Amino acid sequence: MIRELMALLVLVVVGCGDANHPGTPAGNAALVALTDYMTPGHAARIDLHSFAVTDNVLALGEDSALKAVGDRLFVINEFGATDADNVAAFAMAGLRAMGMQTSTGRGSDPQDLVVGPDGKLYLAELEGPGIAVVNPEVTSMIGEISLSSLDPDGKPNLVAIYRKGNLLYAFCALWDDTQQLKPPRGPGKIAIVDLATQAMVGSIDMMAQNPAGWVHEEPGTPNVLVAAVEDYSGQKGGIERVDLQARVSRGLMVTAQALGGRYVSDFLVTASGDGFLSAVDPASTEGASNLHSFTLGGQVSPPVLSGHAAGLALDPLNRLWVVDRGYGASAATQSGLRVVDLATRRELSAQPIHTSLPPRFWGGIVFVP
Amino acid sequence: MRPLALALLLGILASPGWAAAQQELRVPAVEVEDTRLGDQPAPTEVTPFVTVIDVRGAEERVRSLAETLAESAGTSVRSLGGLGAYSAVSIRGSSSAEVAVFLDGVPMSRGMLGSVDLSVLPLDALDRIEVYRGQAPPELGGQAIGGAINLVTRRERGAAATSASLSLGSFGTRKIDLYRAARPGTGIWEYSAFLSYLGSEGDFSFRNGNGTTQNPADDFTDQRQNNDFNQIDAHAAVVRHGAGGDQLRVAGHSFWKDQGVPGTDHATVTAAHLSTLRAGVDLKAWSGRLGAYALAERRHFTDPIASEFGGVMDLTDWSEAGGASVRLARALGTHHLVALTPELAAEHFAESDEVSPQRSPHALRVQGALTAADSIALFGDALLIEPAVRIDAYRTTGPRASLALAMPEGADLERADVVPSPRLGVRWRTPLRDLSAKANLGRYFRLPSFYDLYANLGYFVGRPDLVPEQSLNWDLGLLWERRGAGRWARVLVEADYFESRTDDLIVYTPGFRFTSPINAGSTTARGLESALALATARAALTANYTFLDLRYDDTDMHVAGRPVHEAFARLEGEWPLGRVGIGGYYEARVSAGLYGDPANTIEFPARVFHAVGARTRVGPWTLLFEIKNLLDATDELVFRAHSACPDSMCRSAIEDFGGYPLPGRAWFVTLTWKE
Repeated sequence: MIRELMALLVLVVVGCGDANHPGTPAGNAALVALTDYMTPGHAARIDLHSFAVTDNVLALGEDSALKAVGDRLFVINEFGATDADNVAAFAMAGLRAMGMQTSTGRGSDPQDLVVGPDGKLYLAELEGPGIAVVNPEVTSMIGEISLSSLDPDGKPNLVAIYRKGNLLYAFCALWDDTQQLKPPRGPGKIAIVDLATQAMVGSIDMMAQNPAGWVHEEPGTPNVLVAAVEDYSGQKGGIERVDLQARVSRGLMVTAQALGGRYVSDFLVTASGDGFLSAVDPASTEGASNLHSFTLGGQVSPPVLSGHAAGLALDPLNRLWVVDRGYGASAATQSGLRVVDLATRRELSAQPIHTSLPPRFWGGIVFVP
Repeated sequence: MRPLALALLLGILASPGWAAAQQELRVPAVEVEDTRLGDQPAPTEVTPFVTVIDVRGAEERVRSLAETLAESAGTSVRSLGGLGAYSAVSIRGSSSAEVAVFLDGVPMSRGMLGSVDLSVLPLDALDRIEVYRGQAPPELGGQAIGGAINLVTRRERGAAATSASLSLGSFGTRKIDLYRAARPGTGIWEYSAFLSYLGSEGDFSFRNGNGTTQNPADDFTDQRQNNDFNQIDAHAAVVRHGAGGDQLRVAGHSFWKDQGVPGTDHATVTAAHLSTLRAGVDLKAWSGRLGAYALAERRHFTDPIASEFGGVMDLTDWSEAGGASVRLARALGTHHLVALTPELAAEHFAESDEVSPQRSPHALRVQGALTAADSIALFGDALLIEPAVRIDAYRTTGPRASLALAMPEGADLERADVVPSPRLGVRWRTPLRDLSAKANLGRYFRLPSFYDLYANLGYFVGRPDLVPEQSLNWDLGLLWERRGAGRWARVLVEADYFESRTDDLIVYTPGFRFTSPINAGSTTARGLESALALATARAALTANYTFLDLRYDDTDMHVAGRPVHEAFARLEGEWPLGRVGIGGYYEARVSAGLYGDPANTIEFPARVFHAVGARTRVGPWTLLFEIKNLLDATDELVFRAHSACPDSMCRSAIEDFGGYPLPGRAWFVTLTWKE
């Protein structure tokens, strides 16, 4: 079970708008998902100014991603022994539940969601046949858009979903699910679904294997960016640029070689086009990783931070929040959040902001009123 | 505190003049014999705090070893749900891998995982269970941070005995036990044989939360699937009685179990299967002072339809283990009984993966151990002091390769561990009649398992540089026991305080790509144990209560899954009614202060389970009807912050491990014939 769980720890960035628009989120506090991935997690609220932590403000599952869409917070319970395969909505202000959790089907393992123009939720299923459709008004799953024809085992392994107008773009990792390590069968594929017909109307072939994590828009272009980890060896993959308008991949924008033989575990791009990524050393049992900045031209800076950088998020004060899972004598006390001022590239907290459990690797930070 | 206490202990042991300076020394009235084969330890006589559970007659009930151990003070048991399901024992808050489990002195903890699944160990084949809490006799090893459990199989008693029993019950449960023992002819030879079959469909009803703990509206009553099992347990022993009471005992056992692996409640697994086959032989000679054993175990796990365990799986692992020990004891002067016990043991593990043959880990561990112990009796046996030092040396080899790390294969890695486990026990028979005081101090360890060191399963990667967990345990308490006093056949009252600090915990830490173990942090356990036993010729009451404050030293939070309060009570009796004996029992088990996560944001409510039984005896026949979980406690309300549940209190199934529900009310009936 845990090995399965580990397979699903894919790359993510947070603070995204409705259609993953980069931009400055609003809020006075960071809401951070905390988990050891083995027991039920919870969220802590961290004041943006004092960094004071209020623990257990929201009950979560073992592997729960947080995604903010407008004034709503969605908790995507991916995989776990207790809470799994469901989505729940909360008001960003006050974290009031806006309905019950809604199951996306046993074993579906939802990874990402978008809100359609019709108000319905469309969730990417990692272990299901395609896209779960949920009516948030009545908190029930009302349908499923099957993409199973893309993968011989019937599970195209959706890691992310993106919406542009009436089209959905589903990012498929195409794993061989019959094998324990679930290697990708080949390069990833982006399925294009027309919401009007709820059917696949085309696809885009990726260049790299194993897309991982949520996608981000490239400011001022019709492109989106997505990480691809290939075989996690750090020899291939990077961040791939996809032109949705031309329906073609433009190749790797950042390569594993440029990262010194590391794979990308998370990244984000600011509205002004500055990029930040965390890069993991594949030979490190401890999961050692660095934080780098990068340009949209593909140039990568020397490490801004080193240690165990994981998920990234940009706060309303233009500061970068970096998850540090810690490692060593005690993960419980050495993990936490690190905050970097983007103007000075200086870390604002002398020590990681400690939380009662380690923060989720990625997709676990949103900013709330 | 810890270095000081250890220095004190070592100082005592190293001081040659200390013992000689004592007065009124004389040899204690104990026989020199192997603890593993010794008589039942008397709690008032031995220095460790020990609970001896008499399980003779277990064939008259449907009961598991886990349920039986849960009755003991200081022990806690967790199960994946129902008869036959994986069950783990904890003593004084330890992990299951920190409890040493033996069957007639043969270690049952395999090197692969270190922990023992209680569901693959027999109960009905036993005479008694010895639970050493916090401190273990040196003969039971040094890997006993929580303590040690010795399962003692049925002993031959000279007279012929035959019994048979048949049980049926809820969830398709069925059981057959057969036993025969005799000492024929001249009486030089004696034999016993035991055969048991146990099976169940395990299809109990439970509240399926549908994976949405915060949405009671979509919960439904479900039936456990793929939770069936069948097992056969066989034991045979031959004893040769020699001159002067000397004995040679050769015993063999075999165990087979085939079971479904059900997965979590909301992700039902329908095809995964696990089969276990174990066979062993052990020999005791020289009245138990010489012991040797050999054991082989095969486990085969299959998941042919790539359900939640991740891909199609077909894994077979073999463990072969063997060892020998000899206890050399000699009285020195009139006051000391000194014993020296050398031991040798080895275990080989290999796993073959039919789906991915290149990933087939293996490991070999060779162990040598030497124990030096003294028993010093003072003041006419009133004071018994038992210092001992055990030194274990291990050489472990295993694979270097890790595909998950994309590292090249290389020669096997070797590591050496030399771990001392000194200990000191004191028992003082106070001037108050039948009241004894006991105190113990000891250092124990847990070696990393083969899995911890060499796991190479893609998402789990071992760390060959792990160091052993180490603990310093001490306890102090009083025990008052009187037998045959007036109408009371036995009265026992016990209370003790214990403390244990464990360092270098081996914990699994998730990473980006895989999870691996590290030595991280420490815990401290403090607690109180109390027990009461009252017995007359016709009725008996046993009760115990344990308070456990087990916390992580860095966060001061309670360790999840270990209740702060646990209590058990059992009242039973039997009365004659003409030629018929009528009896019954009532049991209650209570736990409270149980946390579901290491941040202690989830605290489960108190849990109470009741059980009753009614029994009739007519001549050699006994009929027992029993009901477990009498009030059908299957779900509970748990606080979930900001959830949509009413008042944020969400109803969910009662579970020991998240996602694995426990069964509700169940009945069983057993017919037994004994001669």
